[in-house]
Amino acid sequence: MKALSMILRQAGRNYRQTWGTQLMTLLTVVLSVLIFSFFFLVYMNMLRASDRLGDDIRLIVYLDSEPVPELQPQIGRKIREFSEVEKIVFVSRQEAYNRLAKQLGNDRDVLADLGPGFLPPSIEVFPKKNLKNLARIEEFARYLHTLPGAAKVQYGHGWLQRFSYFTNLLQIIVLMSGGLLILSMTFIVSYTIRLTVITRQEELEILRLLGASSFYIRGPLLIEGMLQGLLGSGLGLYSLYLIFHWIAQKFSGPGLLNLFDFRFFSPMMIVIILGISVLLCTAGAIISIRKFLRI
Amino acid sequence: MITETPGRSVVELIKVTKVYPPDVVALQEVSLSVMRGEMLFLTGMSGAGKTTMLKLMCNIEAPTSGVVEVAGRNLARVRPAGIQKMRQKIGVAYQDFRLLPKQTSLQNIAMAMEVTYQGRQIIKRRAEELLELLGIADKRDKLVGKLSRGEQQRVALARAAANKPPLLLADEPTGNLDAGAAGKVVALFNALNADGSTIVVATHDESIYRNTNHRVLRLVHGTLIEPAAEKLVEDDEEYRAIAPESMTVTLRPDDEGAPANELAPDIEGYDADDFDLETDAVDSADDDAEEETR
Repeated sequence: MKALSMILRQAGRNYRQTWGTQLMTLLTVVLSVLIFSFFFLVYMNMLRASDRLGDDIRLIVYLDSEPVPELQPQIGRKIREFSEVEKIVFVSRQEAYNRLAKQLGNDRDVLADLGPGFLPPSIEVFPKKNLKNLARIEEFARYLHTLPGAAKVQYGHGWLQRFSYFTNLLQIIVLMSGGLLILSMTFIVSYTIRLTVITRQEELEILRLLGASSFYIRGPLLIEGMLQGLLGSGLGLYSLYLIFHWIAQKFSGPGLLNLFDFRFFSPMMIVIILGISVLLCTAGAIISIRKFLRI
Repeated sequence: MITETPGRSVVELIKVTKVYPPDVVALQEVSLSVMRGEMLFLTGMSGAGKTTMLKLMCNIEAPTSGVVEVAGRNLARVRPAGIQKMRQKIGVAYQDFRLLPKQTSLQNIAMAMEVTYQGRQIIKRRAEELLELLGIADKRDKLVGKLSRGEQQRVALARAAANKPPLLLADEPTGNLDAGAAGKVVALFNALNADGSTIVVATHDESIYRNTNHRVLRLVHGTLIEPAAEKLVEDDEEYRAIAPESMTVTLRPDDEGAPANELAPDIEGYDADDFDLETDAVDSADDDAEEETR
């Protein structure tokens, strides 16, 4: 206990001696965490939205003519040959007409002169929930197009594609900001510890002569790195939470946030981000200690 | 040349030679035993090898050849962790002080005790006592860089004595002091020695060892001169020509009469008789690896 309190006191002295550099480092860590966690938060939410959209995906195969009931099981088997599906629904001209009429409600009169035959029959294919990859969906659509009597396959292609591109772009940004996070935390903290070591070189040499243990000399520097990580990531995440809270308040109502059910990180994710930040900063400290501390 | 005293030795130098590059011989086949509880004065002119000998004893320097043993352990075979523990038990007052100018006297002294994880109150009390004993109590909160050389020297001595070390090495401890201050330093040494500390003082200040009952050895050009041979050297005309003039120091009665226990109160966890590196013993198989680490 005495040893720990002594080490903490020593770390406090380090902070006081190099407070300007420490502050700059802290700000850099805060910014890095803020940038990374911002994009990561958006990405996580987009993934969740993508999951929800994936759940609603269905492919509609419009047919030239209604398949006779005996043919329907064969078509079903052929569809399942490509991929397992949740369900397959055959929609006749009459069923399609009834659905439209139901949708039109009181305006169903407009259909009076058309009769039930004007809508094409179709097959609604509900893929399994694991079919979320856009390329695979496109492939599935092309396959469905080869079914006998298939005239057109519809599945919101353009919208899905744009959503997929956006998610991929976010993924790249998250990876880049993650890289920035790793680089900035490791190198900046390493640089700061190096400055501390240089500033305290004379003192460290005297401590060595006085018989200070390796833990006594290295401990405060490690704690310095860990604290930078903990404080920096804590402040970064708190800043992000404030921004999130502000946006949520400003844009509450039927806006984009509600559409995507935008949520903040779970407590577990916060702990993981804090933990990784502390680890990265400690790694930075260790790099400097090993490289520059000649004790 | 071996100078021996019967009893258990704390420091043992066996045929130690130290050569600084390229070919400066600081010590030449020196052998010496310093007994537990002994106060030894190493004298000689500047460049005689006194400082080198102290550096070897506290393992700041390694011998070019020969063996240096402290508390029965060959320093060349002690692990770094063992060296670190050993240094906690050796108080060293360096000739160049090795103080931190931007810290106060109290903070400088406290450093020695902090590395042994002493309590804050104990550190404060002990540091204040030592400052008082050495006559610089009023410099407690002064930055060391603002102190005179003499005051800095006393802060360095206080730091060396802070842990009441079983072995205290002092390099020219009165080099910058007036007679009164030197007397206080000698009184502190006597008190620590009476309390069981082994003390080795490297000095060319004759006044602090002239009337002593303790062993006085002389180093000449890196060689220890035995008492019998010493006379011959002093008769040497060349030696007389470069030897420093002697100076007389009169101890104040209050310094001389101070009770040893008051001057060197107990420090938590430390005992001058407890100077053992048994736990740091190494297996011979590890010797090569340790040599590399060191």
